[in-house]
Amino acid sequence: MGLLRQVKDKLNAGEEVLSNKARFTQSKVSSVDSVGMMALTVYGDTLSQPTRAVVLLCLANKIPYELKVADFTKKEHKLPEFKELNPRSEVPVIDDGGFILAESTTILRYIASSRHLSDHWYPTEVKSRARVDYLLDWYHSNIHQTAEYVFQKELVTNLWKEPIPPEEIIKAAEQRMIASMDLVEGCFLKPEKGPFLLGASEPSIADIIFACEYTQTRFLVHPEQEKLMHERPKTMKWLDTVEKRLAPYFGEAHKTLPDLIMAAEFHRASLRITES
Amino acid sequence: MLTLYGDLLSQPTRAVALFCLANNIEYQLHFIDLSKQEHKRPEFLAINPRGLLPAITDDGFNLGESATILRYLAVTRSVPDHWYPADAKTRARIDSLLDWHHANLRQTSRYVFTKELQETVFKLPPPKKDEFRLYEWNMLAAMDVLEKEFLIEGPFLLGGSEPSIADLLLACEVTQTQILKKPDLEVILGPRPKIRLWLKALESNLAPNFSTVHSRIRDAAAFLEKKRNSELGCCRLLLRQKRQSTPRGVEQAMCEG
Repeated sequence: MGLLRQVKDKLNAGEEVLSNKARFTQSKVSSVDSVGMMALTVYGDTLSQPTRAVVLLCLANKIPYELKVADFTKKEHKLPEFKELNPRSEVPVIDDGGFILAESTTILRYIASSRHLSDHWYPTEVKSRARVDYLLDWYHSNIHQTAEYVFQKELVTNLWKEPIPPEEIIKAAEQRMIASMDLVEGCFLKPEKGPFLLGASEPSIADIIFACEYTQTRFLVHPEQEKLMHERPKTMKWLDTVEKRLAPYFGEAHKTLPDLIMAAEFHRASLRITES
Repeated sequence: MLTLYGDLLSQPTRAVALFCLANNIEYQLHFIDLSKQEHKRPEFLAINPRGLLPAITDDGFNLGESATILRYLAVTRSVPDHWYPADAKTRARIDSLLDWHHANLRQTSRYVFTKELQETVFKLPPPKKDEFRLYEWNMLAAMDVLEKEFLIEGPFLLGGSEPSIADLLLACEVTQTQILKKPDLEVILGPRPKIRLWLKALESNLAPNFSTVHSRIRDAAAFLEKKRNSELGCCRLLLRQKRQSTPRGVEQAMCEG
């Protein structure tokens, strides 16, 4: 009984953490950066890996932005106010001085081009660009399944408090995720040429969005995380390189994750206690 | 010489072929026979490690992913701006559609495959009911977004007065529904007049090439319809490519004996 009380208290603390974020319905505060461009507004939640990717690109390039949180845990992306921005309720969405844009890979391309970022992020040379585009296209139907698996396995129940999804849905997402991770490990990482995707010597926007997909696995229980990464040494090295190359911004973009992971763990624990 | 690896039964292959024809880009279609698992062979995997169609080789440069191929060709060949505009914001809107396509309208092909091809043609076990329903639901949801949002101003996507690469890729996905039985096709396209108008506008704007790239799927649809009508129990779609010349390229046949 005493243990259950402790868990409940921590669950409530976790809930408090989850509720303690700026809401996107707050009035906008705009700021102008040094070259006179309006700050970018990013609508999303860094629980979602594509939102993290956009935030990380902005941080790493010192692009002023304001994150308006559409709290995923409370499904705020389904609210009418959010649907006015994006009727399809997708996150992230950006507002660049009135220009509204959805789809994370498009947002990354747009920011790289419109803010004239260093060429390695989204090269202007046509073949180098095509290689990055290839990865960004491949992302959608493939490594993005990592998030789908994590969502079905852990988040639906432990953050949304909804029933456990059918086993075949979890299994199908797991298979797609593993197949994608195998391709990244076996084919897309060429450390003999360079430390980043497709053997590049500097990171591109593809490295950012892929890395944020892999970090979503932090929501899985530790043995499962280790099992996934155990036979993927090239992937582990690449992730480490991306994190170091983009320090301290990589950590900054991921700062909300530990609390969310804690909230999920406590709910998982409480389910185990109430079942026993 | 540009080589396009694929099969015109595959909707993204059609989109790339159509783009080449519409812009007088010389290319050679290298038929990849899916029924013989040629897309899994090492020689094709060397070109596209993902093993999917289409892929191109352009003077030794290999590339996969249809949206990327379309972007690459639009930029490297001197094509009119409307295909992939240089203006950053207009381009971003087209990129947004190309990205949306992957997880959304692309479900159409899964629905068509599971509904009409999986058992009868490929002799695979029937799809699970939940799986099938999910594809159907996702496809119809995507068609609604197309009808009510992306085609709200015509005649082309996002109110364009000329087609873009997004029009080609998305339209070739919708035309995959030709494989379905007529009543099923009517259920999907009947209540969506903007989509029907858009397909007609593309056919007219890109005549005769739009019709040319769809000849193979039209033949496949007619073949299936005939088989359904004859009520034969066994139906095997012969994924053969006949040797024929096209005005701008030669298809290399890889026929069964």
